[in-house]
Amino acid sequence: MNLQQLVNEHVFDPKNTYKMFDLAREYDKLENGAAAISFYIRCADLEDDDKELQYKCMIYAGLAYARQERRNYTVLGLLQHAVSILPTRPEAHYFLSKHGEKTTDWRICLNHALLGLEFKDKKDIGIDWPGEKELWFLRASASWSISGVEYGRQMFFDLLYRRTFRADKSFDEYIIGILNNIGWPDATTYSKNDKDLFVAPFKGIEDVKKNYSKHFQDMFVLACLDGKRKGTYLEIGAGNPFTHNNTALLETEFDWKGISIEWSAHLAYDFAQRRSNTIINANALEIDFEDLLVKHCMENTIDFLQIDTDETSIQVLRNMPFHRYKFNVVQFEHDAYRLDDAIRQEARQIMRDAGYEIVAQNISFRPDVEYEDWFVHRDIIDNIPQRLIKSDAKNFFWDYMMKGKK
Amino acid sequence: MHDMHLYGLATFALKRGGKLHPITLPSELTGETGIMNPSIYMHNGKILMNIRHVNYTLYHSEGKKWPHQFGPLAYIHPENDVTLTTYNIMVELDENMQIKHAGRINTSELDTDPTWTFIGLEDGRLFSWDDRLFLCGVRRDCYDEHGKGRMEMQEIDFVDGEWKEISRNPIPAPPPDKTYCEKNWVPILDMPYHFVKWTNPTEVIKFNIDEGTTETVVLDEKNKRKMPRDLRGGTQVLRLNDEQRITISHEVDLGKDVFGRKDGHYVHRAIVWDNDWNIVHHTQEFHFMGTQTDPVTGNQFHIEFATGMMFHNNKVYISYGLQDNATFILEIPGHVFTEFLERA
Repeated sequence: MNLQQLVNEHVFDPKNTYKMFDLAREYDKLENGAAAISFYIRCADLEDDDKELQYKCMIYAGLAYARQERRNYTVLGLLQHAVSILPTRPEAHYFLSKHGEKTTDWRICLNHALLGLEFKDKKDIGIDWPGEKELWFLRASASWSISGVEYGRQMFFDLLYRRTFRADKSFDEYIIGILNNIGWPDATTYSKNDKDLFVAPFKGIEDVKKNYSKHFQDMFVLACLDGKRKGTYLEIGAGNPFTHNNTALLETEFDWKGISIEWSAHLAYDFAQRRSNTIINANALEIDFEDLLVKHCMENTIDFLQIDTDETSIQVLRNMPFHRYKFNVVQFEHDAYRLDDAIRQEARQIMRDAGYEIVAQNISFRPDVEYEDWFVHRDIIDNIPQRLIKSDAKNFFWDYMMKGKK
Repeated sequence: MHDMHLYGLATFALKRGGKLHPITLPSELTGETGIMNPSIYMHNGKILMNIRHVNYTLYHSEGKKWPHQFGPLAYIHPENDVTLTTYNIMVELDENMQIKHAGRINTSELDTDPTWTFIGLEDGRLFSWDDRLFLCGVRRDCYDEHGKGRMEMQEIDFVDGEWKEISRNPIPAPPPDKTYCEKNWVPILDMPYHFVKWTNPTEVIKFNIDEGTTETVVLDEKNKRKMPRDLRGGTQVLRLNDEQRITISHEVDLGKDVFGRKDGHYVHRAIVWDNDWNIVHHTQEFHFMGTQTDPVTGNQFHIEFATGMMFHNNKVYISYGLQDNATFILEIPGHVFTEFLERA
């Protein structure tokens, strides 16, 4: 029915709230917001029983005011009325969250995004709203905007890679644009909820509640060695004993033993306090690694070697006693995104000469930043999951370790 | 009259062959804020109507269930704009009350820097005298910094493809001209330069447009009728027949809710005068499209304002605004209007 017909319907039956609502909707569609508002509020006032109708009226009246710009108190009030009518529906929370985003009241934005997500699965009652996807987006926006910390970046990352809803290319590109602007997460940890996404499940993965590495380095080691227990490692550049550490998971959940080297006294002492395995506070360039491994009675085959000493990584690699010790899995941080490419090339040559295959080159922590190569010894190349052997010139860590998005 | 008292004049008219025409304007012209107080008038064979467009949208919770933070009745302006700004939009209508053309009246040549926050000519009634087309309304933006208001005749014409203000003629109150605000004087269509300033008792003012002076030509305090409220100006004053003139006036109850916050409702009443300006008949109070009835008092809570009336092709057209937000033209067959006048 057109506006004229709806007006007639209303006038012949003026206390029929459904006809009044239809009239308001038509005014709304015709972008005559003021008239629509009058009939929405009148309808909600007159209706006694149908809470869904009242709820819709409050939301749509709020949206009509929002179109008029700079009536934020009024928009807020109407949407809050809607929440008071049906507090456990998602739509009003979504629009309140959206309102918080528009007015940069990020706590309102976050709180209502979270509430909307709590109720996102309610049966549709015919209100035009974009659904779950936008709630997740608002949650991420607000989280980032409130504190500007890593947590917010991670939410945007999750929107892109861990979402539970369908999205389209333009949405993905929009999120990528945001991440390029605010920065990609410094680290993305594995959680038990990622199990079905992981490309190379290994024995015991179901026991992994979370990992510690920045970009799944520890999960890669376990995947190559099928969740080996009581393995061994040499970790050069340990850093924090847990945060972003590549051996914490191996030690705590898989009973590995090993030696870690850390030049920072503060980090080394912290490591000693909180971890059971050996930590040595020293400059890696001053260590005779053959002597070290001998004196620690390490077997000639060690499961994992990590070299991450920033600018000195290549010098450390040159000093490795490959003639005497074999490492099943090696991760070398070349930081090609910021250091000379010659370092990367020399490292690969050293590894090739020592009997190693590069299975994932140029691991990157955002799609265009390459910082690590991951190798396995030729003796075990046939034993590792084939999905981990990639010939790609670079490997964004998520795409390398995880299956496609849901 | 059962349906009129229950549901309003619009329902009464439609059930007897009338029509209600909703008037919408493009959002590019209005920004979707209130369009109200339309004044319909036929000029040189063209059906014209002035619509007041404001920078606010009224919020009225008639049943008070869902009030604004400021109360059940609130004027919602842009939060960074303290003005109440009025624009006048002139529309030309066809015989079916469909808009043929709509455009804002260009007042830029005569506008001055406002001295108060109510800007523009408000509640303009459309009419012509001596073949000159006028809007008359109240202006409050040029007299002082405290909102002094005076009626004004604004001559308009369609020039170079747009409606334009040609002249601006402030109308002083009759001597001693000391009042704070004059508004809702309504033009007497068949008496050039005469207005009904007040309806009960009826006060008729003559305006000398050349000299810019006014004088009271009719006022008899003894003629005041006992009415529940003041009768305020509504539509133009039209000839009903050789002996009588008619207007639709309005009345206002500015109540408060239980928290002392502003509320209000409007009613209308048809007033009929004889040629000596005696009120010889009036209807009961009525509304057009009210829906919310107070179960205790029986009051209808709504805001409506009729500011235009036209007799054409044996029909009566009353133009009115609803809640300052919407504009309607009620078309009533002549005999139905007569029935309404006689029985209401």
